[in-house]
Amino acid sequence: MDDALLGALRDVVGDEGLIGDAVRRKPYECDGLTFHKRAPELVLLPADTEQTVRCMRLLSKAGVCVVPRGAGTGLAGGATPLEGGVVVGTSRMRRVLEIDEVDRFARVEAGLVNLDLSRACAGHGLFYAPDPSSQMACTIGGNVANNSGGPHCFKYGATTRHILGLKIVTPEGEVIDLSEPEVDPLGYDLVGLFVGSEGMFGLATEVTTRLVPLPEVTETLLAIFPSLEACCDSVTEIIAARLEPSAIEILDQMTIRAVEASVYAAGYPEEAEAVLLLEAEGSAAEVDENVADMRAVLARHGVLEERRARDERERARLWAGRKGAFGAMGRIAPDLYVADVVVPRTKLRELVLASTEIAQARGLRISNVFHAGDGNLHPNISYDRRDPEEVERVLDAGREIMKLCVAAGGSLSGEHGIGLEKREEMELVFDPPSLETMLRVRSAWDDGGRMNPGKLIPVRICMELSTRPIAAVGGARP
Amino acid sequence: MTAVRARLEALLGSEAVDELTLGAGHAPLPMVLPPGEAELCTVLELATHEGWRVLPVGAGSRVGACRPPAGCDLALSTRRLDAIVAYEPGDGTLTAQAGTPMAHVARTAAGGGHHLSPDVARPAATTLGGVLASGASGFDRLRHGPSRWHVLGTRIAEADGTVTQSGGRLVKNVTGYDLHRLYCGSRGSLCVILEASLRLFPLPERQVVVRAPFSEADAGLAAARVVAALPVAPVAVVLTDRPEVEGAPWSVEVVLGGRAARVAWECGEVTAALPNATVIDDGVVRAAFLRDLEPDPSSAHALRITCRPSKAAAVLDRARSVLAAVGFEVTSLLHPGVATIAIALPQGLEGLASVVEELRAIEGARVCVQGSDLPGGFEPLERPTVGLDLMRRLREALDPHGRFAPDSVLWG
Ligand SMILES: Cc1cc2nc3c(=O)[nH]c(=O)nc-3n(C[C@H](O)[C@H](O)[C@H](O)COP(=O)(O)OP(=O)(O)OC[C@H]3O[C@@H](n4cnc5c(N)ncnc54)[C@H](O)[C@@H]3O)c2cc1C
Repeated sequence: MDDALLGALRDVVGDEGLIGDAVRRKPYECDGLTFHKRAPELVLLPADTEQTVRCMRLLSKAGVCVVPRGAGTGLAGGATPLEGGVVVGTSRMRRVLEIDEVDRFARVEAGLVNLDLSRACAGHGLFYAPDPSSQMACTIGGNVANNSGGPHCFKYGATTRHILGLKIVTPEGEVIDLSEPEVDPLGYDLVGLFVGSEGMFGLATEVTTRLVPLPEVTETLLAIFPSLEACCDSVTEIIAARLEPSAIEILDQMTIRAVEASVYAAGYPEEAEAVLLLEAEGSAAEVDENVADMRAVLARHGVLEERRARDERERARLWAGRKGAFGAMGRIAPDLYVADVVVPRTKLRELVLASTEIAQARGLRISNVFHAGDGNLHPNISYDRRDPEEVERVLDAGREIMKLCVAAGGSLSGEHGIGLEKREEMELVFDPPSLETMLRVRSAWDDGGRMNPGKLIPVRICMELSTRPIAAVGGARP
Repeated sequence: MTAVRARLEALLGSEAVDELTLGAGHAPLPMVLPPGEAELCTVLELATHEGWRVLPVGAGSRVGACRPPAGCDLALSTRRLDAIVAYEPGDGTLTAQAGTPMAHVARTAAGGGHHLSPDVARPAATTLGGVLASGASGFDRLRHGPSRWHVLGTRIAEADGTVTQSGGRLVKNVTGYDLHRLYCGSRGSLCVILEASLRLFPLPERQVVVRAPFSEADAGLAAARVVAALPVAPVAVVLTDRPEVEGAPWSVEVVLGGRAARVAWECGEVTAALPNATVIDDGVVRAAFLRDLEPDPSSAHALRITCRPSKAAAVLDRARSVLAAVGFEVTSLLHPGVATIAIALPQGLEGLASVVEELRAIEGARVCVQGSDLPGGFEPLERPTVGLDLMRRLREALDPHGRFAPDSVLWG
């Protein structure tokens, strides 16, 4: 990188906001998807919007690519600087700027860790509903960029339904201040469009989120099943019967055993083929009615046993197992490929089984832990990245699972995003004109294609249509 | 007959061409009603070729919610694209063509035990595409949120007739950009919505309305705040002095719906919190009556003011005094929880422009004016002040030659 530019950037963020040496840049070479790696030429950690603006202006003038980054917990390669350039991270922007308990919103900096937001507003009887399993680490900005989900999004909806405003720094370093929580957008819904844009439209520095009241009563139920099929079928019936739990999660036997052998041990019975974690919220009467109806469904599907969390401690323990499940899988193999697909909720059983067959036919170890209520499957494949042949089989299984789900009316991603991982598979879901429209909309935000290049839109579409193909603007300088 | 009309008739037959009246001072537009998607796209191709400007409409019921754009050559109605494409009761999703009347969509969903949100006023006269494109939300917004949250995906026709899609039919899905969020509320300035998929909600087992009379708006608003602080989740809370509502000048009406046990419990909580409350057991009929009090932009003039919920009392008070000062006798319909105030305006709108200016000066208030033949001198919609250049670029991206809703409906 050019010394003058480096110096100018250092003047903006100071030494504490600039990572230039190779060893300290290494953690930024990928996110949670470790198949693809490339270290950025520089990492910038601005402390606020103003510093971000100044950095982005300098980078824009120099024509350098920018990869926004939160905590790097993404699982689709979204924060991986595959085309090189500069990573701009939000880890020094973590303040809660405002909590308004009357109008029920919070304004926070984008680098705030998800769980810290709910902690900050618990005293007001409110919480921030989207709760990715990574919520102890991932940032609100990353959640916005990926439109992340979580177990309680079954009731409350994914991130997009909770974002009321944003402060966005454009690729050229202009500020679009949409942080005021409007009842309806003025003009086009730029905030709604930005959510889920995977860091390709600009960098969010502030986020205004909706807050919801803590429920009066919460009841958590663990249902133990003799088969994964019966467990899936009971979820399909709960959905079809229009019952209203707040979360419905499934863990299969391999996951249960890994969890129980780990620090996240939750007391799940290791002999069970599958467990269903159900939660109901609301007034006491409502919860009682809902739980009774759900138990009737579970009984029809041959549930072996039900355990009700009796207090907050027990409840937290049951959830710790679910939220720690990906981490616990480290006991099975050094690496875990977390597939993320979504299917119609009427087809859970069929697609969970077929995904398992795909992996097993390739000699791979597969486990399932997923947001069953939303039809969001996570067939997880344990592997060892040091074995290139195994890596090939994992990737092949992942692609086959995606194809299968799309063919069954499903889609490529329920919550992790497309990133690098699923970019080429976008053609399974969208025809070229639809992808071209996405590319044109992207260009409206970022004409030069410098924001997080090489993500989401298939290379073929970019090559055929972009006046400046991505390859031509990759790297530090065109 | 205009040349445009003649060409449209030659293309699709005279039965596919009608007229859209736009109110006093505006010449009616030839309106083409293609029988299907393919024909609709052919019209757009022709319009592109001829350089015509197109105003996309549904049933035309909300054209009054924006200023009739000048310089349009034709209106293009989706009204005959009125099929339910897919209803999946087991999955709680529904896909319908844009011209499907909301009442039909709601009935279909109800057949499988689902509630359609948005629950809009006069649903038989309003199409799905029109509701989404106009950015309207429903009477049930307090419970379910704005319409744009429920849209899972769309198929649209772009200006040159190319059909593209975003999202899908799944309740959870992050595949690709959420372009449907851009189309919702774009008021025909970006595309023609052809089809949309929606997430549905359980049909309430029981619905009741708890109402309480008040002599002053302030007392009613205070009562609404008390309800908001209760651990209940009403479908809607309305405060109104509309003359159609019997009893005291002001009435607070709390619509409760859901499982029977929940409604019974919530009804007890709300009744205890509101003085002189009465319970209307047939909550479905009452809720539809309250819903349809929403001023009809195709026949009446109205103000729609939004603000933060905490400011609703101050904004209402100030707005009414501004209107009273110029001698407008008005009635209001408020949704305090979502901070939306609809004020029905009397006929004869001398001086409206300066009133609107004064209302827009109220801190935190966003003011829109609805009505089919508004006087000039002001923008009916609040003009966006932030991100305008980006919005223009987005418009260019979708409609490079400015074929849709010219002189933009969005920002004059
Ligand atoms: C153990 C584990 C469990 C997980 N569980 C879930 C789950 O339950 N649900 C779920 O949805 N995901 C889950 N994830 C995935 C991941 O945590 C989410 O995608 C999360 O939102 C990423 O946040 P982050 O701060 O780590 O973002 P990063 O990984 O740093 O970035 C993600 C994307 O956002 C962009 N980005 C980041 N910040 C900004 C910003 N401020 N402005 C613009 N763009 C930005 C990046 O460029 C990148 O494209 C899990 C991951 C792990 C490792």
